[in-house]
Amino acid sequence: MLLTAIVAVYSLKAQTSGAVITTSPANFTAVDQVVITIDVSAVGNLVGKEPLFIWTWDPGDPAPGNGSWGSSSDARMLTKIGPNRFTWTINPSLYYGKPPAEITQLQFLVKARDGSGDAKTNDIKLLVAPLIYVPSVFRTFPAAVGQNDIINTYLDQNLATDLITQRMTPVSADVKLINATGGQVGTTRNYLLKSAGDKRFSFNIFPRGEFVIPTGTRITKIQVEYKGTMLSPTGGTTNVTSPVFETLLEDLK
Amino acid sequence: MNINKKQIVIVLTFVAVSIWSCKPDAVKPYEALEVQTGSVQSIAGVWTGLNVTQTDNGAVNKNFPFKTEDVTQVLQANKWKLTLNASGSTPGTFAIDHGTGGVAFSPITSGTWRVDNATKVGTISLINGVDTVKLVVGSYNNLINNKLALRQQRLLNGQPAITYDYQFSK
Repeated sequence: MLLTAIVAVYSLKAQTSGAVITTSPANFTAVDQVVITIDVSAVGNLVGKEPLFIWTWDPGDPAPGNGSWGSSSDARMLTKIGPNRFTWTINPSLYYGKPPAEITQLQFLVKARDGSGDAKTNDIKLLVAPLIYVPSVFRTFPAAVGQNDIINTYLDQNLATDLITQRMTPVSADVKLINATGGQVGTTRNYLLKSAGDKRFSFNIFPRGEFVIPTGTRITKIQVEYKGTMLSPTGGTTNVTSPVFETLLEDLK
Repeated sequence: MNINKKQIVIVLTFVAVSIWSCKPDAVKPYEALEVQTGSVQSIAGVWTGLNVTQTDNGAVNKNFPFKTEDVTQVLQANKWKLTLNASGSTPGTFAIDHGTGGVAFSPITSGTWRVDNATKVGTISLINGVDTVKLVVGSYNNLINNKLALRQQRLLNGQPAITYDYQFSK
């Protein structure tokens, strides 16, 4: 569910900094329903306060408005999900009443109903993914996947920006599962690649079926390193490894 | 025309006897002549996996490329056996055998199954303890041809993110 941690914009006012923002899905477009989770445990001026409210201005201030700084509108109230943790669920295009093409980012802050005395976070900015398909050197099918899904991974060397990935002859890939705290789950597995021609390669992963995942463990990320050979300066071949490619896993139900 | 009393008595007697001799046919209880398509009985049985497709709902909604992939070979779905036992119109136990090399499509492989409507099944729930896998039954035309289409949707924030379409044959 919660995959990407984005620490809020900091300023010199330490009592308003430290909000941790996570989104589900990790990457979202203007037409996706996104759950934005805000943890204010480290925001001195908001710890223990409730209810909390969104104050947003970019890409606009949708009806019925934020209210006044001294009294936020009820329509902006966040949903409490735990101590100092709140969620804000929106479809950006519907929420702001704007065409998807006009929404490239969201800017907001979180405040108490009465924001006087700096009872707020610093400004927070989230980027909104464009509503066009952007080819990439590494991708998965489906784009949003969970640990219980069949995941097809694709490498397109034509789109690689590093020399090793561009020039290597890939043979296999090492795969690691990573949990929410950044630790590896289970052991690294190696998969042989299938060539799809034109310097494109794929392989399938089925995390639940192929790795030992302890009950209750959430896998949040998959890391992939491609292994292969490359011509050495002396004319022979040498073993090489690509940079690590990552895909975030969603908490699909 | 002269009709004497004797003739009238004879006619009335004949009519009375005829009426008295009439008896209603015995009403037999309703018996379905055949299994109704879409009922529990038509879905129960042993099904063999045919094919599986995986659809990226996000790509479909945004008209991105790479919307659907056939994952039959990856899952080795043709090795699957899905057994749905029933007693009349009441669903009973189920078992999923993925076969050697087959990859599990369901995290649970045995338990009980339930339906939303015993005569017109729309949804099948495979249940084992607190785990439930919900499958939507596809067109009943498949059942006429001894095929069973099931759809499973994986949700993200309550919205369909991935759709698996399974087809089985009997």
